[in-house]
Amino acid sequence: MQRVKVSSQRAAVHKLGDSQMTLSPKFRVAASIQSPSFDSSSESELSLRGEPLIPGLPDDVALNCLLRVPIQSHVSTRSVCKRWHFLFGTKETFFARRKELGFKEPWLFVVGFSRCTGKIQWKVLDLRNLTWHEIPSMPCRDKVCPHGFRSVSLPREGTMFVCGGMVSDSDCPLDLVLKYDMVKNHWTVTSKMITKRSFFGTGVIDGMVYAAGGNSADLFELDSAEVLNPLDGKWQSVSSMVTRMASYDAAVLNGKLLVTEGWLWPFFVSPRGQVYDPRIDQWETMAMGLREGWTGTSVVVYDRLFIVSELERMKMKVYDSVTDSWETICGPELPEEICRPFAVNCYGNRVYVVGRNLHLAVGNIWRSESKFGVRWEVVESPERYGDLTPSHSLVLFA
Amino acid sequence: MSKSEKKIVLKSLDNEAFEVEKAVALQSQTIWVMCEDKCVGNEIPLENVTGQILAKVIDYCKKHAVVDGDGDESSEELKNWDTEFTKNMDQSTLFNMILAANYLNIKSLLNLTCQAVADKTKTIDEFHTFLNIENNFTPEEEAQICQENLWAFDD
Repeated sequence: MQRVKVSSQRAAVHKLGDSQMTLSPKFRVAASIQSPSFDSSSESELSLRGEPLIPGLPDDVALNCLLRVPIQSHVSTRSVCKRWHFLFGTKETFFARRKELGFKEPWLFVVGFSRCTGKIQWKVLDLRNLTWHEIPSMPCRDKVCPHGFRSVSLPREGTMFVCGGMVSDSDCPLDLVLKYDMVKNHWTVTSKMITKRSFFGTGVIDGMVYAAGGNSADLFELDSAEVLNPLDGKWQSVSSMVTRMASYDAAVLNGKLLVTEGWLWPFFVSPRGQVYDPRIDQWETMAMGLREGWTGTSVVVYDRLFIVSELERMKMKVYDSVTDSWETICGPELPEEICRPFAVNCYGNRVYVVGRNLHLAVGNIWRSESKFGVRWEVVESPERYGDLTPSHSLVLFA
Repeated sequence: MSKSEKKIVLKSLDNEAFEVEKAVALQSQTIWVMCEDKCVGNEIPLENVTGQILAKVIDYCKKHAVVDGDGDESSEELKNWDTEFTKNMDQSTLFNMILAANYLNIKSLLNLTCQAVADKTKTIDEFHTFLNIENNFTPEEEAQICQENLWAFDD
């Protein structure tokens, strides 16, 4: 099928000055704090000399306390004493120790762009302390359009992948894949996708990253699909989709990848959707009710598919696979502070909806017998994020 | 099972005896192992915990034995109770609670009290005074630290 221009541009709400769009070309490594006078060998030396991390507590227990100190306090804690200087000196040390001790707290990663400069940037919300942080810029040579690329996470590993997308000012899709590691606070360029694609469907099933369909370098949409094994970093082709299709949204439900192209203006034709089952490596057409009711961004909670509408102040709805229909859930609509466009994600029974200027609504989904409902809380973003528009969000643990 | 078998007596370092429900006491992995081993009778001596601290630990265990397993509403209430529980503890009580939770192996209490230490201290002075930590930097090192850039995730 020939690509309709509207479909690939649908997500772009704001007209950006594309020519001003920049993406830092250099790879910025987090500033190395350790200096020659504090060489790492003295850390073990101090510990051997019996200087406790906290007087009165064994070191393992003291670590249990200190690894909970929120990041914004680290400037202070580094200056307390020598041993603390090593612990809080670099993010790598701190998060590596947290990993060793099994800390797994959620962090909300949001990628967005500045409406003034067009610069794409990631912001990170510490969901425990509700404080925002920065991470290094993505290492890209090209100016990348803030829409069209896809990001997926392996939350428990603390890693995420940013795949494909589009060079801005052109219709040229990318095969670029970047990996971010939370413990190292570090981006790496990893093996490219087999096919260049933008606006495609992605999902993680059993630790494997799937990418399907999307817009290609020529006039046609893609039907090809591929899978990345994060352990060896290699992409492999899988069965092609039944039709060529770009993706508006995708979800993983019961071990299957659901990809929908979403409603296209002027809404004359029912949106197409396809479902991939990795166990038998086969695609099938998505049930009619599922694809026709998929009118926003999906999250999977309690093994059920929920939709946060693309429109403001709407109630969430949940899909029932038995009747192939959708039902509005109980509780209020999305709070009015949260304005379009939304970046939606979830973990556990919490839904995170990031809106314009990175204001966040946290929805607590509850279930009682066959009914679902939601309670919303708003977390306002700092004023300095007042020109940011979100495109995706992810949850990582560290 | 008779009523007395459901109860257990915990004896503190300073010989204070506390009779508690078994379900309350068994939140401590240490006590659980002692009971499993059957090497103790109905009375368990806890040589590292004073009566004053043990009383607080038992308060915590009682609260958590009742509420655990209930729905969302009560978990919110429990969270508030936990916050109140550690809110006004002084440094020495808090440290003794941490040591007791560590010795008795009550993971949730250990996490709660360790979190309280992290939450109670914000400024450099608070770290020095509350945690009683000596500044062991040389003047040169101190000057260097002052120059180091603000460290967040980036830059």
